[in-house]
Amino acid sequence: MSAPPLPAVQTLGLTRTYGSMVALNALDLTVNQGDLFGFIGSNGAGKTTTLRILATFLAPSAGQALVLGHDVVRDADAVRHVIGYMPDFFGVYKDMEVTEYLDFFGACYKIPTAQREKTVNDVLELVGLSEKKGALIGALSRGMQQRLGLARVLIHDPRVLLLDEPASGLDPRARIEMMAILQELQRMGKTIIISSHILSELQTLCNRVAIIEKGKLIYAGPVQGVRDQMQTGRVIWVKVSSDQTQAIELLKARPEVSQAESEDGHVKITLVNHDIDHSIVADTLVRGGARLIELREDELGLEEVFLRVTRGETQ
Amino acid sequence: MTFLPIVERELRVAARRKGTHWLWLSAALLAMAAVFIVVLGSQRSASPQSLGKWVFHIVSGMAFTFGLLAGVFLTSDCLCSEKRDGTLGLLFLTDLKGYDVVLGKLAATSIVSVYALLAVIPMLGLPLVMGGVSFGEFGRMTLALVGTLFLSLATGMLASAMSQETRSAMMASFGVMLGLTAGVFGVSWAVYHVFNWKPVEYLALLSPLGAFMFSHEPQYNIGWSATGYWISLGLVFALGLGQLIAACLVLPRGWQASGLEVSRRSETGRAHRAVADGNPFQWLLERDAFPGPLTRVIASLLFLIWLCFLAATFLVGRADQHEMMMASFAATIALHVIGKSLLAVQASRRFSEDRRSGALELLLTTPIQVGTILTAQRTVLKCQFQWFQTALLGANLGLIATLIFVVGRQSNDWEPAAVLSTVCVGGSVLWLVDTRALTWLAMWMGLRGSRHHRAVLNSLSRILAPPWLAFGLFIFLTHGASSAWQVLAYWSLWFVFSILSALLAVKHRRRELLEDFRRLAAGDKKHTAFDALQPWSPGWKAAVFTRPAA
Repeated sequence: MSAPPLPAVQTLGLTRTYGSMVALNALDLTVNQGDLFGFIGSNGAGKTTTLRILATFLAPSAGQALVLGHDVVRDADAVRHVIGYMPDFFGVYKDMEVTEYLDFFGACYKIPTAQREKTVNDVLELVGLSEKKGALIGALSRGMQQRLGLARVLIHDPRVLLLDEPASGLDPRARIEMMAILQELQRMGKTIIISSHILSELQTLCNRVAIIEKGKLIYAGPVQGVRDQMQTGRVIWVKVSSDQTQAIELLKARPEVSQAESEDGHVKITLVNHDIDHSIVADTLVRGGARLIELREDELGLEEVFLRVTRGETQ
Repeated sequence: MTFLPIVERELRVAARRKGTHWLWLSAALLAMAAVFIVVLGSQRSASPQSLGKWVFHIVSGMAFTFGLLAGVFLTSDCLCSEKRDGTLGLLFLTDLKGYDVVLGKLAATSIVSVYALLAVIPMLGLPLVMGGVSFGEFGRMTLALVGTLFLSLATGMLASAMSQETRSAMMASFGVMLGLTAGVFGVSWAVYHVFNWKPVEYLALLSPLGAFMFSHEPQYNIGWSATGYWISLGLVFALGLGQLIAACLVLPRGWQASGLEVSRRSETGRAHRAVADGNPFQWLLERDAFPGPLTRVIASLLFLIWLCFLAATFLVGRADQHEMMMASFAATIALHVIGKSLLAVQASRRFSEDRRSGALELLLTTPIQVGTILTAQRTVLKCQFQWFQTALLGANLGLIATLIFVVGRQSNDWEPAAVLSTVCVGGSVLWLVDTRALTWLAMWMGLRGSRHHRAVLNSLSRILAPPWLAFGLFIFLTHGASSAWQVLAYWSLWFVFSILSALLAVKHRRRELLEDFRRLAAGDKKHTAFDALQPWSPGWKAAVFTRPAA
């Protein structure tokens, strides 16, 4: 029997304090290889601190963090070879040309000179910056600098990407393009940990998320899982062209329905639990002679989940 | 409507800053220490009047030096840092005018120096009680010091308004102040002594040193001392005011320069230089063109002044030879101090700026080793300062040769020549020790994240201040020495003290850089296992109960 694959990132009781302020409080987190993992939390929740620790820039006060099995403190050099870290600021040398910048970081990763030119061209093509090769970084737009940051992260072909707010400050088009690049990278087999405030995008992009608040992990798992956990019952909205009161009576008679009421010209139905198939609503109405013209399920968005979670509405 | 709104805000901010209060306290303590040293070191037979004169000369000299350098360290960064951060543009999007910003920033940065000067003035007034100094002298000196400080701060403001980078602003303001003091005064003095051409003396009135020297004049009402003093003081204030007006005019036009500059450079394009496989950080440092044209001009000017004094030693009659020799000696000391200051500027720059921009954080998450970074920094500094070091050691040798073969042989009095030659040798050794210590300390200061000009100031004050304080003490000890050999012994002791003080200042910093570079760059305090185990530390449970990963 083969051993289970190493988690891409694992933290055990990871704690970080700044004087008396606790930025991370015994964080236990596991990110599997190949995940596109969303890291959610309000400002000051500890996301950047976690990423900085994983990037070996900051030492933990207590606990342990492992990247592909390498300890970030004891085996920092090995960690640096397998990660690509993009902070929430540019950190660029504005008087350098685009290729010089990537060439410099390529040399820092000890990529041989002969191989570096091709690598630089490849990553520039991947992020769509090939036309800006000779441009000075200071003359690039914010979106382009962000892309250059991503190109820098990819220069040594890391297996784990740590991206702190990679889409912040970008216009909608640039954001969509950035997300497309990230999906492409996931397809290439990279593990991506992305912290962002744009939750609607994380919702479609990530397969797993973690929510942290005041340095503590509140939830970690699939996006659907957190929705299920948050929704006490399934909410279905229907519209009928016949008598709405009759439809409500029909639905209330079913044991699977906990509540049925009229709201904004629609009937709002709450099912007693999440596992009940919503087809029973359509079935009941059609059998009872009501004329059904619309049926939709109320999906809880990640933003709503986040707000509820951080308000302490979940356990 | 509030008149000059930024001034009010900046003054409030500056008044709340700890550094403001620390500086005036330090200035007062320093002046008190100087008085204490003078009184302790004086001979028992010395009259209170002569003691008063010494106190007046030394305290005013210290305050004058502080005034000259205030602009370099206090105002030269204030506008260019806002330009780099892009915050200056935001101010100009409002109804604010150039003078609002310039005067606001001047108020914020100068309040510290004004407090420091105010703290020194009571010490300067002490000789009024001791005797030897009149009220007139005291008043004139106070005005001369205020004028010097104003000129220096205004020079820093103009340099800052015209520059993008802290280093160029510091260099420019230093260059202007040097030109206005040592340059103008030194040249007119040397020309007058060599060619006996009296009108050149008027040139010295442009220098704040002119007003300073005239205010020391005890026979103020005789000759043209009074006229000279007021003309010089007027010129100093006029120059300062002119520079402030120029800064107000330049700033609203210059704040967008950085973006334009970048795009213009982008259009012209530069030759791409591939990064070698060896040490990429060294490649990064070598991209920085240092010494630039401004530094070269300033350094050449300095060496030229030194050479003028040395040449004058041969040209003047025997009566003036001693003065010229001492002037060359003082110029050599000035060259040492300036060289060390330049080194502190350059050694702290990369770390300080990269830490602020975040580039250092990116670099430290790559596998590049800390040793590689530090080696690169030291290697490049060595190359960048090779020319200065060679010229400086050459200047020391030239001075020794002149002392031995010209002064000693002509006067047949070998003792002073031997003492000064030993001082030159000791100075050369101290240069080597201090530059090494400054390299480490300035890197450490830059890495700690303070602003570049503060990193430079802190490094210099830790390496140069203890020996210079001790220098004052030794001057007085040697003043009472009975023979030249006793003087030599004192000087030797001073060198040993200076070397030890430099080594001590840098001992822990060097180790910290080598062992805790990343922690320093992260602005992180040292955490020990003990910290995590404190019951009040929320990490203690995790530290105790976390099971290590298999």
